Amino acid sequence: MKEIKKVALGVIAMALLLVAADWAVGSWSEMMYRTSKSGPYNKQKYCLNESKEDLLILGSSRASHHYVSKILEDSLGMSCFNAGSDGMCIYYSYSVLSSRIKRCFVPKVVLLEVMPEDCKVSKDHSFTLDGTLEAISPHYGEFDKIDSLFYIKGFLERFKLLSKTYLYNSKLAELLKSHWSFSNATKGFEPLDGVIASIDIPRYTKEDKCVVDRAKVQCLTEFINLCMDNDIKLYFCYSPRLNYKKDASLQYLFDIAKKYNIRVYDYDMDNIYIDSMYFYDGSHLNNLGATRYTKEIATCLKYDLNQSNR
Amino acid sequence: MLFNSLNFIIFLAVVLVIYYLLPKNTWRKVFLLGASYYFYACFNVAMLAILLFETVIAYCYGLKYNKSKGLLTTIIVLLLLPLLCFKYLNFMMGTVGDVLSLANVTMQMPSFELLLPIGISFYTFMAVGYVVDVYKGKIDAERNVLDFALFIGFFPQIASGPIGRAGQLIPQLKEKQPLLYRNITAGARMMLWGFFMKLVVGDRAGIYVDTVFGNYMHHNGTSLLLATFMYTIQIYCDFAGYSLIAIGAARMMGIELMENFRRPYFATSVADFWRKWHISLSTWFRDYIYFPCGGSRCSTLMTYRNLMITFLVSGLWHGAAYNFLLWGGYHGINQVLGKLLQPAKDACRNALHIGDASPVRKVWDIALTFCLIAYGWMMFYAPNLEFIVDVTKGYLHLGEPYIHQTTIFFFGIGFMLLLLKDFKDEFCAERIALFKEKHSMLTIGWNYVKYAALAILIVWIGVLGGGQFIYFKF
Repeated sequence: MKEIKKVALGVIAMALLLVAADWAVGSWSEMMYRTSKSGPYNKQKYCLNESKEDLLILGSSRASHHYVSKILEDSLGMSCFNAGSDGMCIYYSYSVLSSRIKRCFVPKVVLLEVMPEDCKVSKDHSFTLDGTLEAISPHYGEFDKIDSLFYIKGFLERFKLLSKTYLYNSKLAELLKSHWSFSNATKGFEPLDGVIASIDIPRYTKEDKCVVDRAKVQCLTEFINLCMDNDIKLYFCYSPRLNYKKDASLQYLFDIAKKYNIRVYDYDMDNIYIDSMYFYDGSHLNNLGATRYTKEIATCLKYDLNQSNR
Repeated sequence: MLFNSLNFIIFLAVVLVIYYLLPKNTWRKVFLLGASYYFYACFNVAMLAILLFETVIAYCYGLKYNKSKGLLTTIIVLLLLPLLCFKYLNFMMGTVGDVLSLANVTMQMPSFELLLPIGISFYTFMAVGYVVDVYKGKIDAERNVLDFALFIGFFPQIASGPIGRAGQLIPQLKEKQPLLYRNITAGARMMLWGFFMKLVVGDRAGIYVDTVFGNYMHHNGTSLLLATFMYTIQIYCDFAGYSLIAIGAARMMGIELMENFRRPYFATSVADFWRKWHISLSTWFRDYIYFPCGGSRCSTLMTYRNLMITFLVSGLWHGAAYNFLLWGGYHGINQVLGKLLQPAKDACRNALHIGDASPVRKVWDIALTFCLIAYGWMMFYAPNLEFIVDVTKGYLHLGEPYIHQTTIFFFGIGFMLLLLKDFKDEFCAERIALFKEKHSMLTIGWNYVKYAALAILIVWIGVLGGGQFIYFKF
């Protein structure tokens, strides 16, 4: 009996200590997150809690590095924010859009920079549900639609999310950086300086077969429905890449766009962008390329918006 | 159900509560066996049949055994058969094909898509060890089927060891283990440290290792060296972490499993390393391969031969591929060279007046051994022989290393804590034990704070994606 009492006391003491430590570490991390001054967390915090712009650009790093918000603002005469984020896919775009709608700051226009990873199974951690949840976990409990993404992972995930520290797992380094580093982003656009070295220019690469991720497609469909239900003009964009061949998954996305009558700006095989001077690496335009590309998109978008407003 | 998942923590908690609530030891054993089979079936239900096959064959031998060597051989072949089929069939076919192609005979060898049952190498060796021990009369044959089945299938050790011995484990299973505070705390401490090693250090290092080795042609020598160092740490943390979780889980039930790792990177020679690394496997090979071959009680040349045989088999045990064979051979050669060069090394030290207890000698030996072992791990990682050649050449082209800031930052924190703990356990254990004795109340309080902090640190900076353990492949 004495041993049982000892074990029970030990378990209770440990549980109390764990709760206290979890609260202390979680609260400190939360404070660091909420007060971050630069970097991806500062941008994410702004996107989900503060952004009010009329034109919202969504997507992965290809969105954040390819669309110069200022050019779009000047051309279209509407406020614009580039909410693209490294390694993110449709789940993240869905989270940002749903948070805007929930906060009653519905954007008028959404440009979604699509990529094959928005509908196909991803091989690594990037472009997955896990990757998105890891990024947006500090916002768990703020928006129903974001919370619903966490519940996809099963019942045990709700249990894990009780821990405040868990919400900030693996974020310490970035949190520290966000207080002491400088970011050159303007309205979410993150320019890339430099030109791809000739040795790094990819040969025509054949992408993998399209193995459709049903959950991603469902999320994309919900994303489209959100736009339709809230009268948001949605455009799909596919910005230039260097020496990539179009693959089946991209066509799958374009078919979805066709089904929902969504205009697609496809610059994948645009001849202007076969010049490596516009590229930072195989998948990303540099500042020069982004400026030129955004100007073209702005012209097209202006025309289309004028047409639809008639 | 992986050890590094919340499912396992919940499973273990439920098992522990029910286990200690059951009043009779027989009920406990029935429950534990059921829980163990459930645990194993979570990986793949069909593979449970192989586990049962191994259990039945070894148990029946115990019932019917006699001094016939033929029967022993038959039983061992039967026990090894599933392992050979699932793990080595394709390799053997491939090897035959390779040999034939050397003789200019082209033949398309069939290849089978076989799923390797989790832990098959471990429980097969436990069964073989039992059969041989019974034959040699080291232990009595086990008549109680429940005790025997639990010995083979005990869930903490079924997936990746430690490779238990019947003589050590079965007597513990026969006794009703009381609920003891010291067992619960010791087990929980081991598990927590195991989780730390796996999630904070091992899996974090793995991110860098896979990035660099996965694209080794595009990385310079410094990055390759850093990746080799990190893989050396990763494989230790992954496997020793797993073993600690297994030993800790068993300890919470009052059962002591064999120690599997004893700070192997503080070894002062390759031979010493093998006394500290995967101890349950090393001693298994010593007892069932090295000694039966003659061990060191024969001529020097035969001793070297026995060493080479043992390490080549050890290499093959780890995986059915040439790189594992090469890795085993590399360790064998290192041991042989170590023995051959010992007189020269001693003469050198005498000339330089470096005594046995000299810290310089110790540091030098540890560093040299670490480098030798680390190079071996690079071979172990290699997906093909070309990788070994290219990375070895690549080491020479030093340059600015590839640094992934976040990964290196988190790894750095984990590695420093690991180093501190291992250093303390290796070199200051006695002094700390004395201090703990003097200040027992303070120690208890400190331990609670320390382990709560460790648990939170795991949640805060660990890789919580539920990554597979490296040794599950074996």
